Amino acid sequence: MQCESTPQREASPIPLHVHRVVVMIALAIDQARARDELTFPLATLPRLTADIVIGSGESWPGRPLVLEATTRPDWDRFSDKLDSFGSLLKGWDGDEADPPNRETVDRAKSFLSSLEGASLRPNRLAPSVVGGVGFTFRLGDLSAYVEFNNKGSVYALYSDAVTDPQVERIAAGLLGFSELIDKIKQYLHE
Amino acid sequence: MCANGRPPDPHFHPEEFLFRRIPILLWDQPGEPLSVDAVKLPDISVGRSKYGHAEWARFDCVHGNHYEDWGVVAVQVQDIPGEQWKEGVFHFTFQACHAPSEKDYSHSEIRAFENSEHVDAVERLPEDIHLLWRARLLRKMKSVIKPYQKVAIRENPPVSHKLEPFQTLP
Repeated sequence: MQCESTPQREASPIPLHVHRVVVMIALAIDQARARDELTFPLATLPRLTADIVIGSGESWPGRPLVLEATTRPDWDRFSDKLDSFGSLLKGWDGDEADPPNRETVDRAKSFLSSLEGASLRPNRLAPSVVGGVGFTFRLGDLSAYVEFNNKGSVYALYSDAVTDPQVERIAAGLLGFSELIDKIKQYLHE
Repeated sequence: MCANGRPPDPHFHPEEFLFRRIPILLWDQPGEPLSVDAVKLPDISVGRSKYGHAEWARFDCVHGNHYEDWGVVAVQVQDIPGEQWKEGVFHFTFQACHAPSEKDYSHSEIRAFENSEHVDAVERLPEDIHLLWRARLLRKMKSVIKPYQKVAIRENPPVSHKLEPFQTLP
């Protein structure tokens, strides 16, 4: 959020009270996102960047605001979340779970880059209680789960509400990730 | 909650529930389903409904912590995926075992066995078997106390193995 003076900017034709509501909504969404509190469908919204520009020389209520809401993919947020897993301590699950190690986080970041390139957003990104990082993709009753464990392995699990889940080992690397992403897309949308 | 010298009770009723607390980091939205990342193996620590209430699972008696906001899930003993084969040769079985501690008599573990030998290290389980079994168990898990749900903490132990209703607080 940036507040700066731009005296050259024209006042918005939108009524002041409408501006205020839009600003409040944008602030609420961004703040909720920062606290990781957004639920579907809001969680699927791209991050809002609200630049509030107040006319120079006049007080806040005395002049209309110009709100510019721009969108930005939230891949950075996923990356930050992965980094935050590195600060977990052993036993973070109230039991004996190891935190994801540095190599696991780095491999998960590489996969995240591949996901961004393919525009496939995970529904969930979390540390795993067995020591690692898990990506979950969901569509209705279908889910695909990709786990990077601290031993260096990557596994994918495909599950619906009816049949037995299917597990396969994934070759870590760009080619393996590319094939995995194609398979996840196909599984969730077939 | 304390053992008070009681020996382990190896007999589990098939309909008995096993409780496990889930960290807010993994379950913070009551309406959101859990993912496999929340399911551990081997030796999953749980509390059994015959000797402890669901909200008691929010207590870490070993380290003296109370996770009052964490959700609690449960699986019935009869729903624990019982066995898995690997390439038709390696036979893995899974079962609940009562493992009380002095401060937590209800403490139990879901353990893995290979040819009747306890497998207590994740390295000894094939990774695909490990993940597949966790996914199967996840399907059987039921939400009992939701994250952030305030419930009254009962002081008296359960009177049966069944899931006894708890009182929600405002």
